[in-house]
Amino acid sequence: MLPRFLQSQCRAQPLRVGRLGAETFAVVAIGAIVGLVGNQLKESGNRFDVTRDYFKTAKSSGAKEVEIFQYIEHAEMMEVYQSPAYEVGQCIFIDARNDAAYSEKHIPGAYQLDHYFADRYITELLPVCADAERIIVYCNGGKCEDSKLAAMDLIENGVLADKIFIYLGGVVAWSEDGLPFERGERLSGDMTYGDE
Amino acid sequence: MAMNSKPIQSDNARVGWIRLLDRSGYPLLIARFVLGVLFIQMGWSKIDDPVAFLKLLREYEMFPTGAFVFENIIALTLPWIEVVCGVLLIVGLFVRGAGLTLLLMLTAFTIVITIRAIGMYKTGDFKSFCDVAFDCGCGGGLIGMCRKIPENFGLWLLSWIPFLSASRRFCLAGVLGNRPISVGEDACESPNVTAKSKPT
Repeated sequence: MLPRFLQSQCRAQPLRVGRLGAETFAVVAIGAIVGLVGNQLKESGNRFDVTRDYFKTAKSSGAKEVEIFQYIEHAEMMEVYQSPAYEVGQCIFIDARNDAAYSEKHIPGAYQLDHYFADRYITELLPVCADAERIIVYCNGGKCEDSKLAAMDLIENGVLADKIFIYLGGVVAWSEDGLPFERGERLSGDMTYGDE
Repeated sequence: MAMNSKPIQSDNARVGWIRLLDRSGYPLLIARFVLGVLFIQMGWSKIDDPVAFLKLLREYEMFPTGAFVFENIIALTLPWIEVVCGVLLIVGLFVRGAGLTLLLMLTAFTIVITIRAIGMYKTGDFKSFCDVAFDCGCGGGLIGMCRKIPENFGLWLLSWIPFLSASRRFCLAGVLGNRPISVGEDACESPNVTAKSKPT
């Protein structure tokens, strides 16, 4: 004889609104609890903070965005990259993308500041920013707003806003021009070009 | 057993072919596995990086600026709800609840994806609607809307099966005990329970 759950007579309970509601609530509750508890079990640096406004910008905090951010064009970015100021650290680049994207490729010598986990990077970055005369922040390019959010992190941590520039072209524009990228950690010396 | 076969046949004769097909348990089995595997895969791809999913959610502009906590909770829990639904469907527990959850989610997803796709198309940046493509946060990366919307509609239709099916064949729920399909038939109950429950 077949086990009873393999028999075609095995049938669901009659459809009742109360039972259906309870089942649906249970399904959603199990998922939500597992998600929230799983997040709490992560290390504090990797934890997703549900109470944080991750997209708090100059605009949403009431200030005028144009007064805070300055922008740098691709051509000028090239000049900076080739200038002695970049060599000696008077001018620095900050990559505002996540670990995976940064590790895959970043502008040679760029530091990293992932806005969403800023605590991991900010302590190391602040002295470097204090010494720099010009700080250029970039992300992927196009519509990405991580560079502005990372720039806000720097300003909130006391870095002077007039030293900070946003490179809107980002990795996409840099790549399209066939310019070099560095792979892995900062100053790893492992170079690649464009879309390689 | 011979005594039990007669009521099943007479019961089957009264029902239509859709019910007969449903009672075979195979449509439910197929729907459970297709939806289960897909939703586990879609949810799992987002679980590891709630920030990336949050960014994609924001692009829909569904929530007011101040509702960031709500938005964060959705970004954190929705992928897990998808995975839980998938697992429950595959093992065959809370099948109706999981089916309804998927139906509600797919209805909401399909509406917001369609609204966004129409909005993008109206900008005039695309020659045809089928050229509209974006990462909808569904777990598959960049996807064309002429593929995604029918795909979602197909999944939406499929989700009605676990929601409405009267069968619990091949389900863990059947092992744990459900009511029999025909009058006087106790096939889903264990023999001990059956013996006790029969009127003397």
